[in-house]
Amino acid sequence: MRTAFYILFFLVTVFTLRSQEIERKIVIEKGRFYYTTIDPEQQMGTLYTGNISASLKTAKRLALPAGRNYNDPVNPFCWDVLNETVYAVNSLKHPMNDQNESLKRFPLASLQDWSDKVTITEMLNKSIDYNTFTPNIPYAFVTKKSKVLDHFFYDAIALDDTTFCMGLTNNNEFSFWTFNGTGWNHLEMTNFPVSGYFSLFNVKQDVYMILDNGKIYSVSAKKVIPLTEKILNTELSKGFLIINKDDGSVKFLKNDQLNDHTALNELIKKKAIAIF
Amino acid sequence: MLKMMLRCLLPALLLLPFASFSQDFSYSNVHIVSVTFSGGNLNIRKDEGTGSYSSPQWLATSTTKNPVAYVSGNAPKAAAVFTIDCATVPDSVWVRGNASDAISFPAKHVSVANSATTVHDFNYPSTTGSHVFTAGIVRFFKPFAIDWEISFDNGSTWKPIGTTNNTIYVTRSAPQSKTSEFKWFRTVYDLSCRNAQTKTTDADIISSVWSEFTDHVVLNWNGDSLFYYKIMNSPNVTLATLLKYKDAECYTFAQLFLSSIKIQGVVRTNNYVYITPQNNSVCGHTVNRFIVKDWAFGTPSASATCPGFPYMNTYTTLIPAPYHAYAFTTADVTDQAGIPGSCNINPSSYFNNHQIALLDGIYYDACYGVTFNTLSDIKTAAFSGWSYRYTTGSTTYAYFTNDLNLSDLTETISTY
Repeated sequence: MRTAFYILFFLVTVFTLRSQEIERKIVIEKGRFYYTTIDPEQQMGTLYTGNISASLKTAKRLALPAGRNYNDPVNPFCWDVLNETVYAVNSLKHPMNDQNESLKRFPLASLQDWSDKVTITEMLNKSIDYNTFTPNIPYAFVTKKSKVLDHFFYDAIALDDTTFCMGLTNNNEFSFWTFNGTGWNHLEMTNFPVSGYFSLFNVKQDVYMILDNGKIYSVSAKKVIPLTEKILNTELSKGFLIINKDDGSVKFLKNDQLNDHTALNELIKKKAIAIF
Repeated sequence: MLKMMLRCLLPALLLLPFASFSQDFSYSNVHIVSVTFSGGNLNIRKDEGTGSYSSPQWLATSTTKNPVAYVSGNAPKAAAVFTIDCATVPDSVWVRGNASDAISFPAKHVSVANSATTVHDFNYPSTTGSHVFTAGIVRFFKPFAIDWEISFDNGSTWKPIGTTNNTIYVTRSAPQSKTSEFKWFRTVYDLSCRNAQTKTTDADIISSVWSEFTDHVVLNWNGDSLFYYKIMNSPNVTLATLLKYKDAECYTFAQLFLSSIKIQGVVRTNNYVYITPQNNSVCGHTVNRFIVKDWAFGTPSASATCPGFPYMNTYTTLIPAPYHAYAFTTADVTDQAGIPGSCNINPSSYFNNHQIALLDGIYYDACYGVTFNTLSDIKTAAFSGWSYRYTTGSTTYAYFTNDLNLSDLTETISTY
């Protein structure tokens, strides 16, 4: 009987985490971890946070007034945490959600636990009228250049309190955008085919892009340089990045190595693959 | 004890002559237990989101029978399990089935299993039907019936055992591959095959499937209505949630229409269109809302703020519980009954964007059951006006115009 209970408990735990997979990455800042999941039916995001010395299953669950769509192919939720602020590209499909206003910034302290009063419906309503911190000019640019979306992927990160970066691919083209608090600078590259989503990450002020095939590029508003010595020997979709903003490291953990009972710092030490 | 034996013996003696001469003992003691279809049948997902239908597809103990799907050009293959309740049974019997579409499951000589009781099992082996479903044609069998028969005399005489009924969908071609968005749900098969029955060409299949949407009554496989905004803030935006909850937004009706085309193997790329205002600037803001007919424009209160968009509404929560009406705090513009949507005479009508299908140069708006030849036709046929809005504190200020020339639609196109 006891064995059956433990098996059931294990399966429920694993299923719960697997059914809402970690979106892109875990961010570590000031000794705390952050990761997000997307509701499998209603698109809305949840931000999880906890102490790095604790396991993922102990994380606090905060309702995000943002989420992502289920378009195929999937572009995972674009989000970041920096200096007590959550950044997100609110790409959810909703007839009132304006993609041109999808760039959102929420004070971490303003986020609430999911509860009877903080519901999906309420967060959905909140998300569609939540003011953007700056119009999504990169999206407008790409969709104006070509109304046909093919291999349309994007990601965004915050470098500091005023610098926000966004990368987009469409029709074998890539553009990289930097917002400095008042305006955007950008770089365009043609003949840049991708077969799946990519992720941006930074090491201090240097920005990198990792493609679905594991290739890594250094990216700036001036040039994109492949880092031949930095190739992740697995597909990006097989796991998630671990961006440690405290020690500047960047690692990768495969989904099948995820164990939500082990302290995250121990899990990283034992299982994660170092990138930077 | 003796009395009891006599009570049993008397009816037996009375029935003996009939059984001896006609071999017509009660066939009601032969029962169909199950029927299993195989032979390349397609996966069918349950609308409820609880996985796929399994086999046996027909079970006597189940009140509902599972559907079956094949690609045309294939023959159905069926196996069946029977029981006979009889004290003395032969070692073997003959079984056959006569099915819809003049398909027969040929007679098979099958063994009757030994049993310690009077109930014995016998199985009709998995057997391919006599002919294929004609290649290249959509078929819809509701039901696909198999009349099962048994013979105790090597096939000289046949007696009916019973009939099994299953719904069978036959797609014209192999369905397109499943994706995270397009899945082979039962209603997708049902809506598609029900409407496109006997059709062969892409054009005929598209127009037949489209006919499901034109009367504003879109039904699932069970005859239940699929509502466009049964509640005005329905959060459902996927095909899966439309079919599960039977209530959803515009995205899902476009997806249902396109899925019902794809399930027949009809291939069209760049078929899914996202339309939204072109985001032109007015009065320091961008136009990013439109209102679908009809809205009544009252006395403008914001002419001084924005002459081009002089009508102003305000709100804190646009659609509060129970989610059946807009709740403006102040309103120069009010929602009226106008263009009906699927199973709803006055659905939500204040939007940033809308999703429609594009096939062979025609825009298909599946929630409203109407088509357009050009993008610009949409605003003139369906819109009451444009809007922009911004939020200050907890109040959102929305400004409107009924001058349709003050903005236009833009589109992005992807492949569903």
